[in-house]
Parts: sequence; structure tokens; C-alpha cells
Amino acid sequence: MAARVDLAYREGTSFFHRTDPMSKLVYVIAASVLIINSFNLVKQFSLLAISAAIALLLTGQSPQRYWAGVKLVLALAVSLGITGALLIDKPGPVVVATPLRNFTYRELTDGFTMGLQFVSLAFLALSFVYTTHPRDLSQAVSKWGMSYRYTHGMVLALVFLPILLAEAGNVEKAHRIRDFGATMNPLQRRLQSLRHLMVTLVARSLRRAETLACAMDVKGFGMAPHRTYFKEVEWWRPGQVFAVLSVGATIAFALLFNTG
Amino acid sequence: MPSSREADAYAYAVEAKSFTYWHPRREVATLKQVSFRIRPGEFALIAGPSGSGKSTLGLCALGVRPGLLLGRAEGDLLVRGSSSLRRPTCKIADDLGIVFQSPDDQISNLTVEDEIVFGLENHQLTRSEIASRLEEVLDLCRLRVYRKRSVWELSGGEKQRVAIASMLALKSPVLWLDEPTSNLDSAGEYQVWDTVERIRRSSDTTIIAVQHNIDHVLPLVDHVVLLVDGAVAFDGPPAELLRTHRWRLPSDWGLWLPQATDVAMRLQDRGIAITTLPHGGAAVAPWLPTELLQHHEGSRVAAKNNEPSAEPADSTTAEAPWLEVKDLTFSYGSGTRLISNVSLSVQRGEMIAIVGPNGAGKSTLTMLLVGLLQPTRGSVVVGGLRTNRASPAELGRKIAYVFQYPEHQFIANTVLDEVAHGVRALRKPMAEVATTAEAALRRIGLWEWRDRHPFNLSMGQKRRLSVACMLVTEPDGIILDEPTFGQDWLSATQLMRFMQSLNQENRTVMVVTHDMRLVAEYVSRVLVVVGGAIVFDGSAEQLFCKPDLLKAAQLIQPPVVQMSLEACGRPSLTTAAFVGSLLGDG
Repeated sequence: MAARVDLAYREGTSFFHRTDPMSKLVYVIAASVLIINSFNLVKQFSLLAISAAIALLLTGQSPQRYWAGVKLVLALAVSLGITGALLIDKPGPVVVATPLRNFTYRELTDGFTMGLQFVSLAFLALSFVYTTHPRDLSQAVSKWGMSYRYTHGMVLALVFLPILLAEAGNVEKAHRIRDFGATMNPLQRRLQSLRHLMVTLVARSLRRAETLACAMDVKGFGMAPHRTYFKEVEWWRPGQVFAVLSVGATIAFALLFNTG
Repeated sequence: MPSSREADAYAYAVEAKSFTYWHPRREVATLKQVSFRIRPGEFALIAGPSGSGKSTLGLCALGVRPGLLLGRAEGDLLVRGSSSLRRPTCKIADDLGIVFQSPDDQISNLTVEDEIVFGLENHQLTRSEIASRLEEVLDLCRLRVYRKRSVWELSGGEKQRVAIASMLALKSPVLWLDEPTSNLDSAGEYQVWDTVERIRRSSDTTIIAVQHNIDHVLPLVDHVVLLVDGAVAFDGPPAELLRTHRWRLPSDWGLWLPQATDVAMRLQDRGIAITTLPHGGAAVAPWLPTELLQHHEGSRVAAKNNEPSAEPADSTTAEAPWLEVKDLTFSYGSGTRLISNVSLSVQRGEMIAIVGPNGAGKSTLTMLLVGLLQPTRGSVVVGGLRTNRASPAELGRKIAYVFQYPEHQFIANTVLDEVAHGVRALRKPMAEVATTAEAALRRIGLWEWRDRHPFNLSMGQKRRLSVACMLVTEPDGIILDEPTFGQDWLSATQLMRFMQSLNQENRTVMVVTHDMRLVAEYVSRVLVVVGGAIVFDGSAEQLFCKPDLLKAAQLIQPPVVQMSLEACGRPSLTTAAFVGSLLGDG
């Protein structure tokens, strides 16, 4: 029973699908810089709206698919927002009083902004992942001088992630059924279960890695410093223009609204 | 890369000369003075029980052992005239392509096309050459319709064909298949051997298949090398193997004897003259005496007019069911429904097989039965306990579950501690922990291995240990996921006889399996799951008479059933029963 985490690339003909990986990477980096450096709630809302709109309009993916991806980071975004609000110390009138501490308006909005940043970054990452074939990314990065021996690791990670997740789920269930109930407190049990899970996964992954290394060796992987690519990445002009525009927009946004 | 057409420049495709190999830090050699010669263009079978050194031999031929993974070797192992001990793997790979046992462990790309062209890209072939080889192997391995598919959308058999295609594209003159079907269902196994047969017909590639279940492959091969305990026990043509060693194959060497051969041998014992002993397969016409076939002409006609009853097996008794499932539905959070409205009653002491194609929902259904998953709708009651209300400890005393990969269940550092863990978890006194664990290990024949790490046992031993671990709670029933998966005849038979002994103690045994020989020989009731629903509930005999259902569920009758249907018009589930039918016993 495979784990149902759908973060995989899907074939398509959208604007982002036709754009080369490097141009998309430029857009993602430019937008990330802007998002990370914006600490204003209104600006962060605007950036979230823009990155979500670009994701939905230019990638050909359904809102449900984005929601499935964003859901994965939502808990992290919320906890980051709460932690941020707890750690930030901004003077002002108290708007929420709790036994733990009192919060000012600025502390709450800054915490919320941090959470929003995470969600905006998730939209950027997903729009890239859903529309970029890892093989094309590996090829594009190789063209910029990095050895294909390293860049193919991205493809391998995507091939093995679902296997690893499914296996972790099965091991967890297998250990749960051997527990037969509580012989120790829940925290101890959790820690012990994690240790057993890691031992089993590492042992099986090493065996799998040995077979995979042999299989790749037989196929001549790493034998020569360069390799042919059966499908050449197409450098589509509108995509490149989009990348340049995103850099320009980032600079303009930063200058006009004095980000930060 | 050399072309396969150059193969005849060498006298032997693969030659072992008194080859001995020791794993690192092992005193006893894994391969002992192994000598054999495989000619170019031959289809050779390297057979042997689990742990006989077959896979190690493949890795040595490829230069991975002793080169990359150390170890010590004596003698020599040559691939197309060059020693594998003195060449790097990437150079040997020009001569020898290898396909491993598990398709999931050897695929390193996301789509079928990417995987096939991967090796060609690494060898820096031109795009036009890559395109031409891609087209060639897509046709040869019947993968054209899957070309753009993600590898995750493929069944096990399809993935293994992709692995074979990616090796064929490299035009390696020697293709080494290391137990390519041991992880596959019967339909997948058929697909792979069909593909190998096509390769054999259309090229002069030397094919070496390593296999312990030789039923499908023996009729196809020219040459057999039998490895037993690391040494060559036989080297010659398959007919010679069956003539001289047939009785030793299952009993001494733990190999599956082809059912056709078994039937022919039993007939010979009863005084029937069989001129040519079949090497396997599922057809009787080529070797069964014509008078025997003619004698059953009337039965075949009668059977055609009287198909066996399609009524489900009668499991209704006055007793309340031990396991009761009502309107069971299970969906993932995303809404994907995996189990739909399943209702089922099981009595204590039944022995049941759950079969169906990959992804049909068999494992999900069994996980619902033991409370590892909770129903979206409906209920499961086991021994009077509702699975969604009982604690794991309570459920563990009613029903045990053994996963497909025994290693998933192991949590201790020794075999003894592994079994003792379950007893300790039940808060039993220390003295009882020791005696219960010892009794469990003695019963499954693992007491002498008690100090070993569970991961270091053989596949069959791991499987028996995982069963023992789950039986310490003395449950009323047990569910096993693919119990005979990847095991030789001896290990599989030992395990299934153990299951029969549990069944005779009035415990319910349920097995999720693709192994149709197991279904035919051991169980009294079969549930066929397709698309998350039970589409058949009856006896194995009834199931094997439903060709449309078998096709929909991607199941293939075992050879003895096919042979008995051909000869007598009705299915026999074992070779003994078929011989009895042929000779009119009882």
C-alpha cells in the first residue's frame, strides 16, 4: 500500500511546463528573496495572493492539488507563526492577554506574517515541482557546469521518496501490531518505536542502495564525465522573458515599497 | 559497446574455472570450486535452493564481488573470455547486463522512456541511435503503450519488463536475470518469461536465468547449472537433470519440481509408458499417451456441458462467526475509496486465501481485519471484539498479522529476544517469558539460531521467526501476507505445513497470496478481491473453472489445473489428484 503523497511532476503544456527549469528557478529565487524580506502583513498578503495567482494561472494544476501540497506545510506554518509571536518582543498596547504572556498587535501580526511567508514559499516550490521534470532540471544544472553524477541525485530522490514513505508506513504498522499494548509510557514507546523504525529503514535502504548502485554501474552511470541527453531542454523565449520580468518586479517592489 | 553479433568470437559467453569465493570475514566459502561453461546464444538456467550462492555468482560475474564489496576469490570467472576479477564493473557491463530480483530497487528514473534510454545516454550514444534502440526494445518487450507512463503506474511484471528492456537497449551480448520473477504475481511472471522467450527468438543474446522456481523456465532452457550449498551439483541439459536427479530436486535440494514432470513421473511409477519426460509447462498433449487422453474424451464433453456450480462455499454453521465484516468501506483522506461495501463471515478453523491483482485492496482489507486501519464505514468484529473499540493487546490475543517483509516486524538484536519481546509486552513473569520464547523457537526449528541477529537469517527462517513472534499471544487466527514470497520449495512447504498444523488446532488461517499452487494445495476457501470488492467467494476448484473471472483478477491457474482441464475436463488441485483422475482411481 503506497503512501499517498502527491508531490510528483506531471506532464502538461502550461506556461510553466514550457518554460525551462533555470528560468523557473530564477523566478522562484527572486520571489523567495522578496517574500523572505517582507515583514509587513499587508505586503505578505499581497505576495501570497500574487504567488498563488501565478501558481494557479500559469501551471495548469488544480487548486485541489495545491491545497494537498500546502496542507503538508500548514501545521509547520502555524507553529512557526505561534513561535514567532512568542519570541518577538514589540512594544505597544496589549490586544491579547494569556496566562503565559500578553501580546501586542505588532507581535501578533509579525508572527502571522512569518506563517504566511511559509505558505507563500510553499506555493512557489509547488509550482516549480509540479511543472519541472527532474531530468530536465538535472540537465539544465549540468549545462551550467555541475556534473550529472550529482544532479541525477534529484531524480533518484524523487524515485525513492515514495518507496521510503510507503516502507516507513508499513514498518510503523508492523511495530505497532507487535506492541500488544502499553508496557511503557507513551513517550518512551514513541522514542523506542522511532529507533526501531530507523534501524529497519537504514538496513533495508542500504541493501536497496547496493542493488541500485550495481544497476546504475551496469548502465554506465558515472563512466564518462559527460553524457548525451535524449531530450534536449528547450529554452523557450517567453519563459526567459518571464524570468527577467520577475527579477525586475522584485527590484521594483523592493524599491517602491521599501521592503522590510 | 560491442554488438551481440560479435559473441561468437569467444568460445564461451560465461566460464567458471574452479571459482571459489569467500564473503568478507567468513571462514566458509560461499562458492566452492564452481566450474561450468555457457556457450554464446545459449539459454542457461542457474538453479538452486535459497542461500546456494546463485546471486553471489551473478555479482562476481559482474565484478561487484569481490571487487567493489570486497571478499576473497580463487580460480577464475570469465565473461566472453575476459576475467571478471580483473575488470571494473562498468567495463564488464559492456559484455554482461544484469536484471535484479526486485524491480523497485533497480529503476532509477521516473518514466519508462527515461529508464530505457538512461544507459544509452551514459554511453554517449547519438540521439538518433538512442531513438532507434528505444523503438526496437519498446516493441520487443511490448512496452510501447507504457512509453510515457510513470514507473509508479506500472505493475511489478511491467516494471521488470522495463528493467529487461533497459538492459536489452544496451545490446549486452549476455543477459543475466537474477530471480526476475520471484517478486511477481502469476500474471507478471508469465509476462516476463514471455518477453524472455521473444528475446530468445529474435536475437542471439545469451540468456542466463537464476531461479529456484523452475516450473515456467525449465521448458525454455538449453542448459542447467545446479548449485547446491555453493558447489555445482549438476551441469548439463534439462532432460538429463530430470532423468538423473528428478527425485532429489524437491526433497534434497528444495526446488520446485515442475508439475508436468511430477505428473509424468507418477504415471511412470504406475506403469504408464511416458516416452519423453516433460520439462514443465501446462500442456499434456505433447507427452501424455494418446490412449489416456482418448479415455477421458467423454468426461471432457460432459464437463463442458456441466460447469461446476458457481455457488459460494458454504461457511454457514449454527455457530456465530469468528470474524464478521459488515458493509466495510475504507477511503483515504483524499476520498480515494480502496474498499467498498465488503461483507464477510469467517468461522473458526477455516483456511482461506485472499487473491487478486496488485493494488486490488487485499492488504488494505486484511489490515482492516486486524485493526491496523479503521473503517470509514461499516464494522469488523473479531472473536466478539469490534476492531475500532478494542485495544491492540486485546486484539493481539484474537488475531495475528504477519507482514510480507518479515524484516519490517523485527525490533530486537537476537532471535531469542525477538520472540521474548512479545511475551514481555504481555507483562508475563520473567520465567514464563524464557520458557514461552524457547518453546516457540523450538516449534519452528530456530532454537539453534537463537543468538543470531534476525536480519542475518535466511528468507525462510525470517518468515518463520516473524510467525513465531506473532504466535506468542496464542491468537485464535493468523493472517499472513504473501507467506511463500521469494522462498524455495522446502522453505515454503515447511511454512505451509506449519500453517496447516495451526489450522488443525482450530485456528483460522488467512493468507494473502499470488501463489496459485498454494491456493490449490492448501486452502479450503478463496476470496477474490478486485477493485476493493470481493467478487468471488468459493472453493479453489470453482474459481479455476471461471476463465473470465481469472482474467479480470489477473490470476493464472497452476499448471496441474490447466493440464487436468485439458485432459479430463475438470480441475485437479494436486498432481496426485490429477494422476488419480487420469487412472480412474476411486
